[in-house]
Amino acid sequence: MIKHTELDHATGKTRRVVDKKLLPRRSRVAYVMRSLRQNRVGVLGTCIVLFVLFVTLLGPFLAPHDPLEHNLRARFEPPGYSDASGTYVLGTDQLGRDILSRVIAGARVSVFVGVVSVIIAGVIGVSYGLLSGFAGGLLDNFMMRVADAFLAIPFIVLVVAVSGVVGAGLMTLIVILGVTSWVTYARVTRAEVLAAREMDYVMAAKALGQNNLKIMFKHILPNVTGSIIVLATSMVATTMLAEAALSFLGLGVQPPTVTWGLMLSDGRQYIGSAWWMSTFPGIAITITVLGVVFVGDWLRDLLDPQLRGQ
Amino acid sequence: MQTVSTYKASLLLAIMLVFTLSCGLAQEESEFVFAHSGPIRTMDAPVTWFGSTHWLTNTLYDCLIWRAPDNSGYVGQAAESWEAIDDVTWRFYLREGITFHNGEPLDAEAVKWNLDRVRSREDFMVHPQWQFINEVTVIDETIVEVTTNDPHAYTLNDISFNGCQLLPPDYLTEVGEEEFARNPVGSGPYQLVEFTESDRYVFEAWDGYWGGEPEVDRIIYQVIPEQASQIAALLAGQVDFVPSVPLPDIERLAAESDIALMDAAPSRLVHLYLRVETDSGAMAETYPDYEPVTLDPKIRQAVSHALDRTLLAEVQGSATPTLVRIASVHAESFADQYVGPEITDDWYDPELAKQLIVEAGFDPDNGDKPKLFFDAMAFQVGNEKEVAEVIQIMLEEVGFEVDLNILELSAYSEQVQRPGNNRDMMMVILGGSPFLTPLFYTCEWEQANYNVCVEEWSDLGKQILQTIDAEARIALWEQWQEIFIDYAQTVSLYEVTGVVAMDSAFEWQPRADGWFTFRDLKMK
Amino acid sequence: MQTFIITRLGQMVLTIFIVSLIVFFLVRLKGDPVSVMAPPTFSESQVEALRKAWGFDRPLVEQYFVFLRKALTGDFGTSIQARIPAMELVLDRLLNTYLLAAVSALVGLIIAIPLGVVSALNRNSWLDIVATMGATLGTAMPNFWLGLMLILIFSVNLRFLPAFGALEPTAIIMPALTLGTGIAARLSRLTRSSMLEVLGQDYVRTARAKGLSGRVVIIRHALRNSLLPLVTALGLQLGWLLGGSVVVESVFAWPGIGRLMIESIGVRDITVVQAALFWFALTFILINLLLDLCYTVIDPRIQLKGS
Repeated sequence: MIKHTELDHATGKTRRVVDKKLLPRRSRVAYVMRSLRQNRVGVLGTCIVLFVLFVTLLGPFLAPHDPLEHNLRARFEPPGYSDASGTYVLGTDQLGRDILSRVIAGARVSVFVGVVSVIIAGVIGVSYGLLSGFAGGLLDNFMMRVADAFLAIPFIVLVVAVSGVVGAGLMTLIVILGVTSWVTYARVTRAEVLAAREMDYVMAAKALGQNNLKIMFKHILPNVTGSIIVLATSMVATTMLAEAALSFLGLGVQPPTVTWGLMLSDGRQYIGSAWWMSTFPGIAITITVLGVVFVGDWLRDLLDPQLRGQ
Repeated sequence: MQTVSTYKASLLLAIMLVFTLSCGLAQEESEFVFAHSGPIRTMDAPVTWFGSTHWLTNTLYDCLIWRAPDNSGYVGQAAESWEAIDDVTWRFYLREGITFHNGEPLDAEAVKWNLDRVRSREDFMVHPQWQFINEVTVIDETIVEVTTNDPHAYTLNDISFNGCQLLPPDYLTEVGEEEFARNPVGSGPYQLVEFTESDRYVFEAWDGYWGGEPEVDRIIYQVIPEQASQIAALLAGQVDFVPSVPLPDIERLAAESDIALMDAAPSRLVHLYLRVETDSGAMAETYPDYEPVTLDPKIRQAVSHALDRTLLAEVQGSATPTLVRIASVHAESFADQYVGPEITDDWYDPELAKQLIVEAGFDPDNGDKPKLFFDAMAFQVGNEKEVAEVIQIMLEEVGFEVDLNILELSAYSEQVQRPGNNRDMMMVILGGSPFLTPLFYTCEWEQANYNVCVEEWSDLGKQILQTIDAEARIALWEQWQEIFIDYAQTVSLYEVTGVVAMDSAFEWQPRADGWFTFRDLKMK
Repeated sequence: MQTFIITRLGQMVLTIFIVSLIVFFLVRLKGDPVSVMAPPTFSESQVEALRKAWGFDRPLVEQYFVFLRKALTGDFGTSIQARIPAMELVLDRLLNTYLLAAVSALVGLIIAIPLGVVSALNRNSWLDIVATMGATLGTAMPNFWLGLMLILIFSVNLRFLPAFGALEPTAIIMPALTLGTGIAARLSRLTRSSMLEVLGQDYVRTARAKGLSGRVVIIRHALRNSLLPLVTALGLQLGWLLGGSVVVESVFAWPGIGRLMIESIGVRDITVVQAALFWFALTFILINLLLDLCYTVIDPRIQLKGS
């Protein structure tokens, strides 16, 4: 393994870093596979995530019913109910819609919300962090105080406040989730920039007169990628849960869009009598988040060498 | 020595006795907890227009008169009796010697002060509803006279409207409005002894009430936002009343022997508003060249006929379909002919709707469909958003193309119910007070959402409000309703009803006005 | 040390100033609240009068400076809906939210530490996997769903915990459990990794070599030394706890500022929203400052860096 040691300015500790550019491609794949084999929780997580992605992509072909189709003669029917229009494996909701088909349709939107808003947050946060770290001095200081201020208002509180005021549709919600969760990326990126700036090859590049932009993209960004991927994975989970919380508070995506959060939220007033309405989307969201978190943990082990070797 | 110790012993005995008694009494104290969905606004009653806050203020304050529980007429509160002197003058005779909780007399001066306050303060939300009063005159200590601007058919209805609550003038002036909001004082059967804003309000029976001390000692309004938690608290015996039971829970609660289920009166009316003009509000600025298809009366009629209101009422959960905009709580005898599934089923006619669309110059079969932007709101509780989805389906079935936009309630009132931000069609929830209803359709009314101006209709509305004779008024109402249905700017859908659950140790009948106030609550 | 504290305080003041900007403009993203407050029966001229009465007709910048000047004296304006100073409403409920956050943090630790220790001691065994999964489950479940399930089980079926409010001491159990399980995963993972780090170090090995029993080593040496990073992590998790309170307080009708804020957003009572948001931020900033300072005292490396 090719590693070198660096000083983490955020914690004052030293740590070992892998410069992945130095690894040959084939051994990189083998390395990933070996790491996955060693991590049973990671295997489980990967399986879950792959399954959810499978459902997301093939959703329309898997769903037995149209997720929006009402059947007012079959409202609040328990799992296994069947009538002329078919069998409802996981029961029906307050409008007689098929829960299974809705869970499947919800996967698509929930995953979409999670992934896209994380990408938005990532782009904002990484650019912000790069800029702040590179600028240094007063601007850096000020930019970090802005980040502190955003961090000081708890994520959910901020999202709730913004979407409460703006009123969220699907796209608005994604943007809101994106623009409120960029801070962590910015801080991580900045820390990496500060660390990288001190490293020999960056110093060398600077001495050779390469411009900052080039240094940023060629030398620093690749080093940040690992931490950002780890962070982004855990943020996908957080974002999916935030979407559910917003729906619960009535501030999330509105119908006819189907999301797990909205289903949970619709089902909650019937939780004592029509438990299937909230239970199945609840399980879906829990398992998915569980999978994402496990994958995130594994990626952390893989990409963040601080913990590796233990 | 001996006498002293006997004295001591008897004192001890006496103290013990008092303690035992008071403990016994304390256990006897009856307490009634109401699960309120919140939020609850200020106790300075005239300021707010939210009915669910007035359930509480009604416990704390008296009005002059108040709607009878079964809506058969009015009962006196601060006023013992009242009479019409002429078409514009009403006289109210107050009860002798009644006071507020703090001992301040509730006399004619206090009544005048209160009525003047509510009709002159523009920052009060109920302000517009009180402009029918021209003058309030004190005749003597217990007689107060109210004159209206014009002959007014609904004076008694309006004088018992939100904002009618009587506050102690001296106390309020002395402590100021802010302190009053913290420590409100009224003259009703209960005093507010403690509260956390929008969380828990504890009312305690007042022994000085003119009607005698109420039977239940404490009435508590407890805010529990989650309906599932409300039901759980009821089943666990922590609350005694849940105002709205979700459909699937009804069966489960019916099985509990100590819980009584009752049908609640209608609480709100749901309608669609269709745009009939383009030059009011911000419409012209927001969508300068926009021509809504609903300008054509045929299209509006098509919408009205395309909707199966009985089905929509079913989707809502528990509701009565209707064609008109008068709530049954205020119903005068004309209303019956427009309310109920038989009538709306007759009206529902998708074939006619299709035909009307063709007559309006569209050709849905070949893709030329009239397009509707449909704004609707979502409540935390209730199925309004599902209803909107079903409406979309119904309209698309007869050949419309519907672009549905659902927003959470407060964002909705901010963004859609602002002048001109709504385009073709929007869902609205409105009360159905007969006094207010014709006002919305007069040409002078600069309404935030739509200007409706049909000369003949406008005149009819004004005439209704000024016709004191009930029979003549009802004849006018019938004409008015025909135009309402035919013009179809407002397409009425249904009136929301519900099921309430109560601890069966108590005795209470749901009020016809749908209000959850418990000043006459009894123990079984 | 002194310079470090002064720098941190200076940064804090700047951060709070930026928070005030965010808070002020956030609630006005879609214009003023008057259109939500006013009943549909209000005509445009009445709406205008209302706007004037509440000062929303002034230019935004002017409104901001009025807001800032008053906020500096602790005056966030009068609640539009309650007609009581917004600050008073927030302070009334502040302790409840703090109490809930503190008890939840405790619950989180009680769950996380044993799971983390078990994981570390049985690294990569099935026990490790089960402990990890168990801790993560709490994070993965939407907390309102978990809360409603708890109510269903403990209030409706078993009937031994109150379903709402903060009236009895036992009422805090379920909300704290709901919130606490949410932070358990991160804390237990941290316990696990810092335990592993400590366990690998010389003095633990020495202690073991000296023949001290496994339990003594774990508790006296390893666990105690791995608690330090846990304290800092807790500071950051505070954001999660405060955020979660918005949802959990609604489920359990807990009278805290999370619920107050939600209700106030719904009716656009912006003075209260501003005050609540501000307190959320201030709490977070102050607690983290405090933890930072504690950390500086405990860990000499940071101290060096500051001076």
